[in-house]
Amino acid sequence: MRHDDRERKKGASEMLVLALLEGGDRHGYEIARRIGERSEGALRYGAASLYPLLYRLERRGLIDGRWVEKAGQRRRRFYRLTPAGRRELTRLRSDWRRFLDAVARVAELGRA
Amino acid sequence: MRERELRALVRDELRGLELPPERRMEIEEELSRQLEAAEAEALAEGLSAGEARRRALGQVTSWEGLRRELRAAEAPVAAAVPALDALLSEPAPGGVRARWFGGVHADLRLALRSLRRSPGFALAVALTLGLGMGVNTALFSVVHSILLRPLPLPDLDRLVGVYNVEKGFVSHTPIAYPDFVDLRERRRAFADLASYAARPFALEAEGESQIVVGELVSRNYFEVLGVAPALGRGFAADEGEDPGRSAVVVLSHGAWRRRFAGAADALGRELRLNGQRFTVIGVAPENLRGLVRGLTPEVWVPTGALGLFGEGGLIRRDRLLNRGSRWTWAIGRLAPGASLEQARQEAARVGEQLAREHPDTNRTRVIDVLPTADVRVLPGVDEVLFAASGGLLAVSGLVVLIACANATGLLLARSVARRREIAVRLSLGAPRWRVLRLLLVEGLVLAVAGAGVGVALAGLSNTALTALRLPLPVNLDLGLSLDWAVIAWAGGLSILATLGFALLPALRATREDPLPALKEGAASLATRNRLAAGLVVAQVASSLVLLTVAALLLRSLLGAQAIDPGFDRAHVALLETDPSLRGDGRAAVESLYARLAERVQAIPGVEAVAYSAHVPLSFELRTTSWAVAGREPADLAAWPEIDTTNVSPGYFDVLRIAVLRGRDFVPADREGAPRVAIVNEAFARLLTPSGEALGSSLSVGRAGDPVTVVGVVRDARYRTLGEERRPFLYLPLAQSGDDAWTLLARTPDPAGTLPSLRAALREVDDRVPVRGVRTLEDATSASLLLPRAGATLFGLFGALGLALAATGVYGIVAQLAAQRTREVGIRMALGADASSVFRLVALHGLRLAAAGVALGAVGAALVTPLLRVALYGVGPRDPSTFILVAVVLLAVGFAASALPAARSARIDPQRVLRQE
Repeated sequence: MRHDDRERKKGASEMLVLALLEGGDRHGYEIARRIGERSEGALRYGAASLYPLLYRLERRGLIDGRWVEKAGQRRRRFYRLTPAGRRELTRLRSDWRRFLDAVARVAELGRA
Repeated sequence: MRERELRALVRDELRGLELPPERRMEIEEELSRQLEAAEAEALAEGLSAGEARRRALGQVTSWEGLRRELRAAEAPVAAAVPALDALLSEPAPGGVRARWFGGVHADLRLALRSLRRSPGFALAVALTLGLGMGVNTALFSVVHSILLRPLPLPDLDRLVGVYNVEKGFVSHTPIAYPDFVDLRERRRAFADLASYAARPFALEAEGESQIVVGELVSRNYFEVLGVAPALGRGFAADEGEDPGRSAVVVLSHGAWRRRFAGAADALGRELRLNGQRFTVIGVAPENLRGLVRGLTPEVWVPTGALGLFGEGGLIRRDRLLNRGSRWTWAIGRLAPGASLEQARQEAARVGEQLAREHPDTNRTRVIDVLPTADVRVLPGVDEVLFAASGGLLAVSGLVVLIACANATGLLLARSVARRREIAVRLSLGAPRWRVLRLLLVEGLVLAVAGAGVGVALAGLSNTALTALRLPLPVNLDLGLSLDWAVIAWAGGLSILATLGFALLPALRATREDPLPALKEGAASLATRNRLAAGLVVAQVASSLVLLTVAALLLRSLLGAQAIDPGFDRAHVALLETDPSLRGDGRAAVESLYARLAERVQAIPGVEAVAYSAHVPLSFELRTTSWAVAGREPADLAAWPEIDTTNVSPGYFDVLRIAVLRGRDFVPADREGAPRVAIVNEAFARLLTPSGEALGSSLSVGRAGDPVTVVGVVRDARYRTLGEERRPFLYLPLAQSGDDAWTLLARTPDPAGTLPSLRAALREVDDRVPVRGVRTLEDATSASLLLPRAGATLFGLFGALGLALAATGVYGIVAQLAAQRTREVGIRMALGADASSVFRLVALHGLRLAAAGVALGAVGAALVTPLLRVALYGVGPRDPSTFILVAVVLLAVGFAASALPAARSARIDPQRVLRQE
């Protein structure tokens, strides 16, 4: 049970990153900022947890990072969703939907 | 500028990560980019520079957390994500084999990668194991080539040796040649029988002359062994019986390569054996090294050639006919269908027939057979050789064990550092045995590397042993080589070693509860490894014993070199020859020696020339029995023995041995003239209390007229440098029957004179075999052989022990220091300075070394008295030697602990404590 729980947390973060990249290639800072903005500050990802997460996803082949240089700027590392990442995102979304539905039904969140 | 500062900060914080440099730089860059962006944003919002900087730094809330996450995400776990996935996945289908061995390949890759990241550690373990295995493998290679390697003969199990059987240690002895001939003629259970006997020959080929081993064989030797010559042919039917047709040889492969440069036209060329011309008719295959282990023949000669060597030959012609003289070995090949038992019965039956037919020689003889594959040298000798080899291998096995103990220490030290990695693996759900296997695969990689080092060392040792020229009459050739058996031995050792050194740390590392280890620096760690500490103490102690023995032998060697042998070794060149080998009569021999002396005297630089039968302090030893004339004991066995040699006039002058009283020998002291003798001081005192001795009359050798003492010379050393004063008797060469004389030429440059000596002999007679040309210094170096070999061997073992003890101390201190990191951090936070931390850690190592030294000193004091006979000029418990060795070991122990101690002293207490 505890193990599932940890997995789920980890899975949540992974889903968030994958979902953000679905909208386009982004670099690390942008991903962190957008998670903050979209959650209206409820979710915050510091560099300390974000980058290791990105590296993990990259190693698993779900995202793909590459250095991009733009005129007059230092190069930055942009991440892109891979086909495998897209599939994983779909899977995570349906998992989470089922999980949240179940939680909502049990806790009667809708009535609160 | 700001960017660079940020980047430097990031770099500093990431320093502790074990990552490949490119990867680290990449992460560094990406992170600093985010910090820069945050800072730039803040500045754009109008914040002050200080606030902007704080915002930037706030991007990373916990550097420690980042490092931890990165470590987990990257090296070494994430570096191996595919393997990790394999660890986590369900067992692959395909049964037990796939379950237990599936993914080993990945483990191997992972292990290699992990070891590549700590090359220092990998090198230390591989070298440690390599040294230990090297000694053992080198020994095995010797044992293998002497005792284990089967003779390279086809259908070896159909070959049997035929022996005379006797009671006693050497139970199987050679047979008489006529007995061999009769056995062969009456054979039924044997397809055929061949004879062979190893003998020294003076071999001259392509201008070089040397004493070599040859095998004197019956002409069917190669057919019986089932071996075809690599080149040319074996002996023909009529070669072997008729001397006139027997002047043919088959060369060994080695002799062919060395003496004829492996040329195909060596066939038909001539060489001289004992002065006689022989024609090369064949070359033996490379792997045929004769049938007497250790004595690899240079040539095979048919027995019929004995007739060519004349009366003075090493083996006289009449030996082929003399049933009393038993000198040849016999080997037979069983007839098709015949059993060993039938051969045994037949040999016994023929033996009984011969005993009836020739009762005077054969009455007590028993003939028996043994399978050739079961015999190494001779049955009784084999037992001793096997026991001795087993003992030596066991002792060197201990060295392997010590090396394993060391590697265990190093591995334990490392597993402390790897606790986190292992904990991550386990917490991610990898089954324990998979992690265990990974660690063992790592150990195996190290052990195999160690075995590689070991095989290389064994190769070096074989080269050195093969190149070693002992001052023996004939060189031993063991045919040492690194074949598959040696490599397999090293491979087996490495697997045992893996279990020996890697299993314990792996079990310990995987047993730990992963949770505390995950929380970096979990307080007090594992029990101190008392076992490891004990091992280190034992290592220091045993290397102290070895080093003490080495140091004593070395001092003794230096002492022995300083001993005055009582004669001048430095300015004499020797030429050893034996004209009688080719059958010259006595008159011809003496005339040749006279002409040779004259010719050598004319060589520039030669001051004086003399002859003797042998030189002192060589391996040769001659004794004779003696008694005061008129008072001879009736029982011949009661006559005392005395060391003696035969010398020519001028001998004492050449060797600078002072004639104290009386006179030197003169040319008139020859056969037919009154017999005379010269004695040394010790013998003179034995003869008369005053030591006068001149005119004393002695019976020598239980026969002939008495000899009269005409001179007394100063004492010298004769057998060994360390000997007590020993009575010695000189007799004139001209009054002895000796034909093999050694010429001694006094010259300021003995080594430079050697070629001229050889040339002088060629000028006088180009057919006389040369037994040797060397300096007296060289010939007498035999007396230093034992101390020199002892000092070298023990020096080597001692150095090995020292190296192992040093790594052992290092390993255990480093391990304990790593375990005490937190304690040290607290101490430092409480005000301890670097130097006191250094002392704390270093003292620990020094204490172990001191315990080992104390224990070893006691051990050494018990052992060294056994060396007493081998020591010259130094006591077995020489205090200065003991102190010196102890100081060396303590210094090494200190140096080995100083390294980890210095590392501990550099600990940053804040960082350590923050890790809580």
